[in-house]
Amino acid sequence: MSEEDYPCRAFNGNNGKDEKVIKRLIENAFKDFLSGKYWDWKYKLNPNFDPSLVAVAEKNGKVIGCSHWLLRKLRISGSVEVEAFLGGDIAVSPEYRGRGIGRSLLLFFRSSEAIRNKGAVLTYTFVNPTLEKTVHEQVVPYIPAPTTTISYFKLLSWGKLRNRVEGVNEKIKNEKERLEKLSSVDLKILFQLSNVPQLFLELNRNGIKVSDGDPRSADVVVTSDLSTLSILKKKEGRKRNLIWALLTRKLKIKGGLLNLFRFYRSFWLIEEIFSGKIM
Amino acid sequence: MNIAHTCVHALTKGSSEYSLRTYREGDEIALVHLFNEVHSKYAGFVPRTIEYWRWCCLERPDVERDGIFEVVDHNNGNVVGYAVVGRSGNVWELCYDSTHDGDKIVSLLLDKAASYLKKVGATSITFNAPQENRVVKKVCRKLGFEVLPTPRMIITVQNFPKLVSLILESKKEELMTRFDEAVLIKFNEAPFWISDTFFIEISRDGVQVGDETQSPTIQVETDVITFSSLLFGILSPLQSVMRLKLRVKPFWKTLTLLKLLSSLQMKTTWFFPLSDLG
Repeated sequence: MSEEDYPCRAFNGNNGKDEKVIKRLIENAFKDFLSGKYWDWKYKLNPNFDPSLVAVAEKNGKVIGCSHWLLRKLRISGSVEVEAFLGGDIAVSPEYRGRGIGRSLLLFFRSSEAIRNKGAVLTYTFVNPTLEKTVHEQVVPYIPAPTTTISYFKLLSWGKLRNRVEGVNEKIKNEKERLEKLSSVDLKILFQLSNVPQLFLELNRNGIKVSDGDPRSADVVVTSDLSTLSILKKKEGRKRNLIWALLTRKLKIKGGLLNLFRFYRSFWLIEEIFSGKIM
Repeated sequence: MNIAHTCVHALTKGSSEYSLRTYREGDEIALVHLFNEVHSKYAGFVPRTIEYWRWCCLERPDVERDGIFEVVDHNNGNVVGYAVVGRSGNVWELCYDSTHDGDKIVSLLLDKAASYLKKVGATSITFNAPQENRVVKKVCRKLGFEVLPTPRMIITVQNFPKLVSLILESKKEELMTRFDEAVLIKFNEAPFWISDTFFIEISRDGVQVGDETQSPTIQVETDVITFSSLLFGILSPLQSVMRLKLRVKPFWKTLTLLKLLSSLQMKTTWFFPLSDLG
């Protein structure tokens, strides 16, 4: 479909109708992370907010997508400061995703004379790899910022993993084949990852449990660090990475021979737990 | 007594004595000053005003006033470091005066941030720092932090003539003494919002950028991505010529153009704190 099927226009801040729909779209796309309250703060209360920099895409008069931009002063070298557009959130109604609406919104933004008259020298956006490939790469000739920013991270508790375990237990209950597989599992595993709290998992026919029991009763002890765990979470080349981690002793698995065999047999379950968002 | 305003920690090592306390109304003047002092040397710096900082930190939905920690120098009562800690686990801003004992200040702030986050039920702590900051690196190693990949930031130039004009203006003195050229830049396959030709004129009389020139001494044919990469220091001028991404006419002016493009390159380190991401 062409972009003409989804005409774009500037946000109408006066009637409150657009705002309501945009908030719904954003909440749907980003879940709790961008609830209505967060949208109000991020855009409406932002000292740089300019409603003319919000665009909506429509289908038969119904708003089905939106994009946000903010005009900011940005230093780009020791002595050069420019006016720049910061790309904000793009959201599209679930039933219309994958039809080029994000691209239409980006093109609308670039073609609008009102936008050009703002006098910005550049645009910059923080993107995830999917959006970069499906939306930005198709529309704009961009370069990666030569940034040296790094993120430091420390896990304080396994709260997210506990939630994940509950979800996995719920899922397995409805899958007969895996439930049968689980009935033969009975194992206690202690994860000792450097600089994070210990994680003690009990796997048995009732499911998985993040245990508060005595870690000394563990059948298998896994010693590693979060970076290695993050690498092993990637599906691509997992076997190779696993062997490499074992050989370089970045991952150590200790236990009796029988327990190690049981650990190997229940590896599908451990994979399932760690495959989701746990940090 | 308001507990949130009580000094919660004091540390004395060597000659410096610091205490840690939570945010007090009016502190933003000192915090904004410190932020601008520390970050203005980086590309990617978004200058803070009081109004902007209040919105960006104080009014952020996951930030409570008892989650903004400040390190104060006992000698003069000045704020020498602060951290804005959101209940989500993000340390939106972490900033310290590098003329003070950074090691102590960063340790105090991160320790406090971690204990605060544990108390409010966050499962992790995350913050951004410039890669070259060895103090933060050292403290993080000591406290058991891991390094994660940062979100990717992409740049698109909207207005090349204006951008080049600003760069020329900032390096005017140097350029005027070194070059006497009128360079015509022509982009292949430029998107519709970018003008596909413009010229740069540098002489002893001044520098200017415009839409047309009578008689260019150098003509350059390139594409938008190559030229953007050159300006932002991602690609060297020599590499772009060798990869045939930059065609120069007349050919014998190539060396002059390479020197000119090298002078125009911006090589400042880019950094953005978490608070600038959203």
